[in-house]
Amino acid sequence: MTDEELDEVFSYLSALLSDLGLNWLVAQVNEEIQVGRIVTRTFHHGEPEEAEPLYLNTKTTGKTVIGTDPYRPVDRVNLLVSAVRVALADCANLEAAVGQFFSDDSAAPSAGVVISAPDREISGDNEVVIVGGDNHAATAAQRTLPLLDELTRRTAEQ
Amino acid sequence: VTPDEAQLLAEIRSALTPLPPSLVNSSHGSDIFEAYILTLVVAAARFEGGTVTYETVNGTAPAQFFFRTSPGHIYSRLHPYTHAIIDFGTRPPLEAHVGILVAGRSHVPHECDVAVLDRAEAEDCRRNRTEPRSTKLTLSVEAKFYTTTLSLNLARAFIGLISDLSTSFPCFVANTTSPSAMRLLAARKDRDWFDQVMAGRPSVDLLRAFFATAFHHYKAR
Repeated sequence: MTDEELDEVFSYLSALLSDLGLNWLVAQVNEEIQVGRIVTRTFHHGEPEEAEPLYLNTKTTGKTVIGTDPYRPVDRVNLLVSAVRVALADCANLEAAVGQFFSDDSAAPSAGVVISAPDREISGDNEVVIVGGDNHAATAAQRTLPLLDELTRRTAEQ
Repeated sequence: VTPDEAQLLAEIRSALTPLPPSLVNSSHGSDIFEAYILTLVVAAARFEGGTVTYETVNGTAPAQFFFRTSPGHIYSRLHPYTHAIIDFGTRPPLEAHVGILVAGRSHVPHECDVAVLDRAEAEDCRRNRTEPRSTKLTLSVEAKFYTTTLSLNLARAFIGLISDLSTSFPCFVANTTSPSAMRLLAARKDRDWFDQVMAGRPSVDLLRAFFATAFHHYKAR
């Protein structure tokens, strides 16, 4: 795909996800894109060397500084796809782990349901079942992840 | 986009419909993550020999788990919010909560995504409709459920938060990571942080061990 096509896929996918209610996820991705990839740059005799992604290295020298590089169109699509993948896979894992823990716990209520309910005074009054019954996130992950793999494969064909 | 790509994107849309409840907004993913961290706290308490039971804010046995969509008051009775009671026998019992407000040193309320505190303090707060004091916390967790690299702001906010909390065992826990955020947290030894925490990953063992250490210290005090 060309950069223009990748930009179009990014816009289309962003709009699709926002329309589905995943605008919080799109916002997280846009926040990361806005900041850019944090890189270190080492200078010798006033000349910049090749930038590298920031590593967990606490050593500092007077010659090393940090900066950011903008994400390329293919990176932006991959960030969005990765965010959907993480959301689906992690929510499915968490639902399964929490459900399993409480169903194995003899001290826990037998219903095995976990409800998230806000304190109305502070954050609204919509309660939601986050764990219990079918693992909806796992079902969605099973359907969606192969399609995301296919999208990643196509975007890599440049 | 080409017709093929449009078809693929339409299939993605269809596969994500209906959206799982845990993905409807960002707080729902965070809520499950916090519930998961509570299960690790409970497991660590049992590992340290504690007895764990569950109770609602009304003092009754829960019929099902109600956790707070953060933040909330420990005394709120809008729902039968559930907490765990941890008893080591030789020391006063503790309570483990999800998403409560806690009063910091500066007397302003802070949200603790997961908190373990003295049961006596929790009971007083439920009676008097006040927020627990952070001096009564055994451990507190700042939990971040993210789908991307963690923003540096989150690490900065945690550093600010723990400067106003008196708990001995505060920690930052996230399901993803970020080299820059972790670098900031790693710059000082008194900041405990756990990244890439997810069921089935080795990072969970480290976090559970941190919680067990907090309980081990509590028993020895």
